[in-house]
Amino acid sequence: MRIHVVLDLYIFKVKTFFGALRASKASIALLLLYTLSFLLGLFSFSTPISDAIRKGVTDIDSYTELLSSVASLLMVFAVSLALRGYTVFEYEQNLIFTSPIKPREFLIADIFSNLTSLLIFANPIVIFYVMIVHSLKLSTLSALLMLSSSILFIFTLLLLKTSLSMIKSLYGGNQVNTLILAIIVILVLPAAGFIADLPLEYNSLPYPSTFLARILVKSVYSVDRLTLDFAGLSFYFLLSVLLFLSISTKNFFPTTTCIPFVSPFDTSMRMQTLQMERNIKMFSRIGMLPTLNLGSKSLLTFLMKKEVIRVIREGSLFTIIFFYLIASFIVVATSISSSQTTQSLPYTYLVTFFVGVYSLTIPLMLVSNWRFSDIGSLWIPLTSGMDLRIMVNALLYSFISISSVVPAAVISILSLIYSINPIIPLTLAVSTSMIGCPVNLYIMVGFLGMKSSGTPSILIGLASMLLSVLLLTPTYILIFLGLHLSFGDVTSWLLTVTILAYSTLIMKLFSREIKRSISRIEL
Amino acid sequence: MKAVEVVNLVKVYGGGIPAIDNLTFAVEPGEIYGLIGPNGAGKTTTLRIVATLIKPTSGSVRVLGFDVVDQAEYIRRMISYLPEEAGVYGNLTGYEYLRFIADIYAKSGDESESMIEEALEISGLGSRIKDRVKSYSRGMRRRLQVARTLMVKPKLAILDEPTSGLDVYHAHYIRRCIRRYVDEYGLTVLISSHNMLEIEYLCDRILLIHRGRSIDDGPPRILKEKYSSNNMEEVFLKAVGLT
Repeated sequence: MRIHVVLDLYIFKVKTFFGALRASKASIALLLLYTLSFLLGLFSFSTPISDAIRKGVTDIDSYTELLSSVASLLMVFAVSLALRGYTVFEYEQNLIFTSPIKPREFLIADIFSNLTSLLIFANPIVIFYVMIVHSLKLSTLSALLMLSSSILFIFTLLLLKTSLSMIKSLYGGNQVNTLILAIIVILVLPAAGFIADLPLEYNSLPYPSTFLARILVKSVYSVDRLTLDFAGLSFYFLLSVLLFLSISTKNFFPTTTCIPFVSPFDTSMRMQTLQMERNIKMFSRIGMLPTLNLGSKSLLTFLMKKEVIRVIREGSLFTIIFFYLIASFIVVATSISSSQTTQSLPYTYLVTFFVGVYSLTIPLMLVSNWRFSDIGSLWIPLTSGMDLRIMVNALLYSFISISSVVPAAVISILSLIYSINPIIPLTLAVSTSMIGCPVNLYIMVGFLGMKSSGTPSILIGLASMLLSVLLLTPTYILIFLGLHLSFGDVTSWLLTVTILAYSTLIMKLFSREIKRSISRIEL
Repeated sequence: MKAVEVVNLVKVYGGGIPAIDNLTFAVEPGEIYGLIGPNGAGKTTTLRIVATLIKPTSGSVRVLGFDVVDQAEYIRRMISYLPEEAGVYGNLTGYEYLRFIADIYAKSGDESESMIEEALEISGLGSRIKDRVKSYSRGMRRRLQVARTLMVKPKLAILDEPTSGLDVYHAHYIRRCIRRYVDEYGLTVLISSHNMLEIEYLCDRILLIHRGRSIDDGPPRILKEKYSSNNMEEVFLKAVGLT
């Protein structure tokens, strides 16, 4: 193995991955914003933990169980990626796979570049680690143990993911899928103990995640007897190294799957359009059912229908539905196992879910997908002389409808099942759509108009989410009041009207600004 | 020993439609061998199999005596591949890109420097080599790619539409470069192109492919005589029975 080749390849991959950061000041600023926003959250999270530890709250088993489940989820994520086989970028296939670089050299460079990307994206966690070590005044030995065991665990994950991906690429077939799925089930199974009263817990199982969790928790509490846990984790690491060594010499290059994205910072339209085309293929059978009626009397209705059809064909609608099915399942499963009444828990969970996840992600996904699929044909409305207000309204109304209809259906069904009043969750769902969609579209159009089209979507999305959160704050406050003060029907309706009026105001305001910005886009 | 030897090659993709259907041809060392055919004829698939990027469904492909499936590692030491849609990541400079390639192929620092110098000459990018590739025109990107393919002086250069996107002046210049490398360094070139003029100018022999099958092959002059045609475009149309 040639070390200088591995090093060259590693540097090349990292430069390629983070290239946009070097090129755009906006990207660097947004990455800093990302770190800061996470740090604020982690700081508020670390303070109570530190306080609890200082006050002598020593529920080591519970902490270990929780941490172990989180680490197991990370493992599940890594292992599930192997189901796609070994994925590479287009330039790697054409350039590196036809060069004298050996499979093992490529794999090692790949693992280290993945580690680098992981550390850069997970920088708030590294800072969080420093905060914990500093605030608890942990000994150097404990701090080193925490760090080294975490690194060992990450390497185990990367080696396992790499090896399983290669096995999947080289041998394919149902047997490999079954093996990967079996590993996932084994890793997830003890988590069932959280939602149902089952005699399953990570603490009693010799999982790598359990060993890591024990080391981290015991290090914080300065508990001895870490040798066995460290040996356990090292055993898994060695096992993954052996697996990697045994398979990394095989010529897996012709069996790899090409993925269109070079990095999350990649803004290549050709690559992103390729991904969109794949989705369209996947959903084409259902997506081809609705068709555009050219005889439509209203241009607004026609354009709205066009957007809805696009969203169905590109797969966004199915992602939203899938998202809600999972969420509903969690709500139902939680309510079944909970000791609380069945009436109050789903309600609270639903609201938390909407506020925490839905309100920020669905409009972002819809707007991002619009950018990738329609930017190439944006010249049509922009040069057609049509009233751009109609186009913007069509976009907004279709996005708001799509992001409201699915949760409204889910809320209605759950309300019937649990006999709860759906007014407040419905109001929240509609309000988040009415605010989230225009805000996301405004930021996206703004970036395109400012010739910052090189700014990665992931960072544009972050800016959109932060502004959405800011503008949704009055909604959140009113909903919180509505939930905790248990208003009567009349007051609840008044609250709903107030929230919707506020949301309409924001929507109108941003819609006007989008109309101004969209004409500034240079294609 | 043949530079490339393809025998009864078949490649069937997922949908069951054969992209290549029983293709046989051979390329002599030091020869420029052209594949011509319409879109979807199987040219790119053939080149990618020779470049060890995809495996054949059946048949045998040997490059300089080595099998593309079992001995891919040896083949990769001797080839250089230029795909039709060769992405160069936009945020690297042209120089960074060439430096990376040179470091992979070169056995010493001096050799690496010499490769980069040659690439600079071939690409004609001058001081723009220090700029990010994103700022290059399509033609500049293509010249950079051709330069990186030739600078390593492979035994076999596999070129898929090498002058795609280039203007007449630069296309002519690149063709001269390819010819010069073949004459001076004894390279073998396997090339595919839609440009019949290019094929006629460059290639010692040509293979006509249609729907994954070989229609005919031979030197351009002989083929023109055989089909009583003035140019390769007519040869192709007559060979596939379109006129």
